[in-house]
Amino acid sequence: MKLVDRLAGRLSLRLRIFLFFVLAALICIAVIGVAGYLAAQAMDPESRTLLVRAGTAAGFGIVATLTAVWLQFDTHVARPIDRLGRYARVAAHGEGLSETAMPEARYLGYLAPALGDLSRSLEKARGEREALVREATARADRQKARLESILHDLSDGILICNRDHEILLYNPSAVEILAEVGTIGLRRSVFDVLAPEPVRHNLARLEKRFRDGRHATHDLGLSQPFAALCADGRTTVEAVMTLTLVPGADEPQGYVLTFSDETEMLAASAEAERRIVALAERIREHAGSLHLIGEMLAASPGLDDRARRLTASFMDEIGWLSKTSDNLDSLAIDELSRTWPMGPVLATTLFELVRDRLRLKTRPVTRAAEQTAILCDSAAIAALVARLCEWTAKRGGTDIVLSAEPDDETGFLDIEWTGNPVSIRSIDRWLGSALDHDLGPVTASDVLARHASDIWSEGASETGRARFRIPLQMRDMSRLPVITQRHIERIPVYDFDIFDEKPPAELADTPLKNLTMVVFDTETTGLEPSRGDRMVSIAGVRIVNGRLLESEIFDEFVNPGRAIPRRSTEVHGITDEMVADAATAGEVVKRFARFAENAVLVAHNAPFDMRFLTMAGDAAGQEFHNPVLDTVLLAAHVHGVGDSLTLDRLAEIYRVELPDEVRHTAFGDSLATAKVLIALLGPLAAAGVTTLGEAIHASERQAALRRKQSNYQ
Amino acid sequence: MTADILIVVDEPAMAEWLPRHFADRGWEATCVSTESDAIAALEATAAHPPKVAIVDAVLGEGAGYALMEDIRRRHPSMVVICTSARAGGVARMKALAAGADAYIAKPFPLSELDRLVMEAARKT
Repeated sequence: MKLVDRLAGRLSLRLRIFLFFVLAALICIAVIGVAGYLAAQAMDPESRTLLVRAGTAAGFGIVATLTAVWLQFDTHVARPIDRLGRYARVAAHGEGLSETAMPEARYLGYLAPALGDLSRSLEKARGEREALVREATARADRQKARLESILHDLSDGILICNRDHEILLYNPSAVEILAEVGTIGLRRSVFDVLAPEPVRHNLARLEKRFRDGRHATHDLGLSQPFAALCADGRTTVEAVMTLTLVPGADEPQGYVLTFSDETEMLAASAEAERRIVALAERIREHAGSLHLIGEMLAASPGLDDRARRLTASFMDEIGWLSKTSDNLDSLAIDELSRTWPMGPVLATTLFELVRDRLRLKTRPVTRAAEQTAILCDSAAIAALVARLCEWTAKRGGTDIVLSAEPDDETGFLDIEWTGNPVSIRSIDRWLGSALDHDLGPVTASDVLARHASDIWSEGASETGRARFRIPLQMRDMSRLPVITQRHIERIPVYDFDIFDEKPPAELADTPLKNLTMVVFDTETTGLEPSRGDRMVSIAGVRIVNGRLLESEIFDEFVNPGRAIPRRSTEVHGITDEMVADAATAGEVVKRFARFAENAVLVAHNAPFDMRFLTMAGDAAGQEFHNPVLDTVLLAAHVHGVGDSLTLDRLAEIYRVELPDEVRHTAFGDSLATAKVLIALLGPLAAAGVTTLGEAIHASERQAALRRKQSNYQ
Repeated sequence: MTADILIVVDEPAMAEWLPRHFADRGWEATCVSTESDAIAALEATAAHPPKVAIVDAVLGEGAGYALMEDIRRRHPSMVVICTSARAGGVARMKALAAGADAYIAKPFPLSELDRLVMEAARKT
């Protein structure tokens, strides 16, 4: 019995009723057959023939009658019940339906009006509940708005990222400061705008400080200033990274970056510093020559007393000139450490970071007193030391040891090895090469100049060891006063739900409402790319965590490289003049690919738009590997294939309203599709589709159904 | 006759007066102003090299350091004196690492240079 129930449960209502009628017809025919057989036993052959004819006629009559009754029943009862069922499901889980979406059901008595009443009261109840929720969230919204307005008005850029470096929050200043560098977007990688290395390096450094519990007494707490190089390799922003903690969490959830554009200031100050040092050097150079001349003058025979006194004054002045040039030098060094974001980093921490980034099989031994701190731009110095270790290993140096040795005047960061020292010419050549791809076009020479430092190599023949020496300013941290626990209060606390979401291992298992989706639409010169039709416009909007981001849009005209037929212009209103100055499809598609990076692509009747998109992409060497969803197929899963599923009809059902001027433009249709998609998420969940994998599976089933139907048409 | 001292400086006043100063003291000094001229001079006198080389570290963007390394390799016993207008102890340490025997920061008293040259003459 259970098996029958399960089997019946899988069949649709209409099919089950149809089978019921088939069963009734079979039973009637069987009864007539049995009755006829029994009656025929007592009859002569002639009467039997008559009986068989009568029986056959009765059988056909019954089948015809049952078929007619079934047709009526199917049209007026089964089909309307099926539609009402779907309507009820959508009404129960959707965001509210318009009255026109209610199917007709004249022969079902009070059922349809009752369902209408039910739907209305449900909507009313939902409205009341929503009002309560609205009221409860209004206060939170006001606070959020206040926070947003503060963020909005801040002149510093702010980016909040999770540990996967995805941007969860940004403010307008961040967009403005980084406008020349790249596009900032929610859930996009921060590495679209910032060079990865300094960010990763400082995050690793702060996490280590947190793990070791040193943040409680560290004078910077959980923050770290650093020079953040931008993705373009030219701009530098002076940034502060701060770890974010949720109360009670064992580990940080992400980080906040605050920054201001200091490129010009840093470049100007580096240039000023370079000039001051060069000037001081020139002054000392000339003072040296003057000193020589003065001394030779003083030694000249036959000088009278007056000439001797004049020479003595001359020599005194040279002394003062020399002192002045020394003052200029200290001024330059002060300027450098004031403007360039450097901070003390523990030598042990720095070495650990160096070891982490080394591409060597044998890790170097490190040697440094626990409290020795090096004053430097640690990301740059760590990269420099790592590359030097690799270079040493490549030249055959073994048993590499890193050490930090503080001195009275300065300190030395040494890289020792067993082998020969390196000539100054080789070092000079090496210094001119780019240091690390992730740091941008920065050379080792730039890094040393920024630290007013130098590098050389020296060897000790008796031990067979050689070393690089890099003079850097060092401090003994144990001599500094211990700071109390007060800094723990300064740790910023966030409670954004967005931090709790860990991206699942498989995208297919990601709930639809947690996906990043780009809903897009194209306008074209016609319907057939194979006959030369091309895109004239493409637009897209982003949905992140079920929320439509109205500020993150893509909307561009495309120059199709051919005339737009009048009939097409009538549809989308785009003329030849409008696209005359637009970029080519290749350029636009590449930009679109960046906009849609790591997102699921969604379109209404996606095969059409995807055909134009991939064709333009193929020509420009841009591949699209994004998963694709089609709102036509998703709506078919909810509404059944019989209903009209045009974008206009779905917009009507889900009460999506758009200003007239954007309707039937690529942007307007993307927006409408996105809103329909968001409205569909509830009904889809009710129909058992909650994840991307399930949505793709349901779409495939609907597509197969459509293909089958089109075969019969 | 081989010069006692090879002077490699590019500052014109130094280049003019330093050889005269040594001439006054009775020493033969040759003066060149570039790294390549210095190497040419060393090659020309390979059989009887100068006893002392006075090299300016700053010589054309710091080429003096590499030159000192070259001299040290060619003539391990030659005394190399480095003069420099660069400030701080770092320049001194780099010069000594590059092979200089002594380092004098500019401006320097001639007596200091004379002392170093005389010490070198005694050694060799």
